[in-house]
Amino acid sequence: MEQRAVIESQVRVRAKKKRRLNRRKLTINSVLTVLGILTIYTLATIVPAHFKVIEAVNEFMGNLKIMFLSPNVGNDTFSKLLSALGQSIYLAGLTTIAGAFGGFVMALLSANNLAPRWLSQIMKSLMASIRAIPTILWVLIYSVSLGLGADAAVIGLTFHSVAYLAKVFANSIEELPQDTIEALKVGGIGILPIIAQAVIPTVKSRLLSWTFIRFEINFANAVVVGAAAGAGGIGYQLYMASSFYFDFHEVGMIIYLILAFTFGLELVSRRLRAKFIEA
Amino acid sequence: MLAVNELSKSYDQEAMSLKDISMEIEKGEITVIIGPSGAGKTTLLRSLNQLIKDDQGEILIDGLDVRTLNRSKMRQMRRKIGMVFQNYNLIEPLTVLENVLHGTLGGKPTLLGILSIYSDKEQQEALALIKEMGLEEFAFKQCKDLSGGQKQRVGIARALMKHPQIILCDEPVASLDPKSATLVMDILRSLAIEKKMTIVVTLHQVELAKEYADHIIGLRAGSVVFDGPSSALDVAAIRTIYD
Repeated sequence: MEQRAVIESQVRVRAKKKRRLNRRKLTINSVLTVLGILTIYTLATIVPAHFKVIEAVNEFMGNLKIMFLSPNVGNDTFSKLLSALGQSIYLAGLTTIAGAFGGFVMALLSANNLAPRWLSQIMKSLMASIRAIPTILWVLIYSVSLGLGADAAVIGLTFHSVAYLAKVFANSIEELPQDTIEALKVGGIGILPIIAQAVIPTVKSRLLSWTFIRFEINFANAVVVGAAAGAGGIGYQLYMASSFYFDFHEVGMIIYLILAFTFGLELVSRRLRAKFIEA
Repeated sequence: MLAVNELSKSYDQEAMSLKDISMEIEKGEITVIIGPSGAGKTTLLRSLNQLIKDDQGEILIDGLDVRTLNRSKMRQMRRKIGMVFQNYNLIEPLTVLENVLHGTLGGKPTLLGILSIYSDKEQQEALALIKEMGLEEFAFKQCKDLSGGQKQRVGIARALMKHPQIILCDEPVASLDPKSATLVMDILRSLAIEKKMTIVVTLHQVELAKEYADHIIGLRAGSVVFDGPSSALDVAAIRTIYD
């Protein structure tokens, strides 16, 4: 008798679960359908009356062909473009190195196995709120006080790099067991020697890998910032060639240059990630 | 040497707390604390150097109550106590020698510690200790390449670099195979006999405790239920501890 009651109640629970699942499925499906209809309607009405889709696509393909199949240096010289690329790399390098030093200090203050709880929490939320605002916005924010240009770009990029690296560095540092740190503390060792003798040797390779990955991000940012904040570099050349001279041959050349460099970065950073971070 | 009077510590859960612990530990002896897991072995051991703060009671080392010491006195007291851990707590990417030299950092000026500047004397001493532990061929190898038993011997060498009078070992052989465990216990025994060090060990293997201890303390649910020489630990006594 009792067993039967148990089985019956189990059946009831299962049926209830199933109903709930069905309801969830229904909600998801109807939301997706409504969104799909809205998307199709908007796409259909967004195109202006005199816009001829097929012609436009053809023209676009033609422009792409000019860009990617016949790249040349246009109004500039190749060495000028290379030095512009160099400027962007410098900008990325400078902000990454500054960001790494700042980020390391912030990471020490926010790692929960080194800093007291309250400090760690304050630092973590502060860094998170800095990260929440995109890099390019920080550059624009600083350009209000410093004017558009390289200064605002350097400070804005560094600022976001510090917050980004503080988080990933702190995560790496937190992998060092609390017990190990405690073991050294009990020996009467101060916090600075512990950082130098225990923390840094343990996380060194991971920190360097993350720094390189941030360099990759900062290079992309440096290109964008060059155009958007007038910080110079390859991004500025790209902006001039595309929006000022309408020289699509040069645009193609610049894109190939950027592509070649980011491809190299990507290769290295993927290897570093596999070797030191995900290992 | 070391005396504990009516020491108590409570946690939210019953496990690991201590109730009115009193015991005496003699110089040059191996004292083994045994008991089921959760009985408070580690809590008791870690209160001895105040790694865990107890609630009330008295811990006297050379007649000085460690619970009332200020920061600098506490640091002095801790310099007399070496500690060895179940999971070794070594800095794995560093070499054996560097890890052993960490034992000297406690008494060093901060700057020398940061720059890892060690005197010739300290380096000679570290190498001698490594040799004593039978690890001379590994002195310049990274600790992460060592076996558990070897790591534990590095841990002991690091503790010895401070010239401690007392060595506290928290489950030193719990992660080791029987052969390495015996080797580590042999080393602890020779330290007690030859260097007259006071050694306090928590163990969960009764056989090892009986073989190596001069003095056994049995804990159960935070209270001392056995306190005597290892020869007095008979089947009945073991039962009161574990059943």
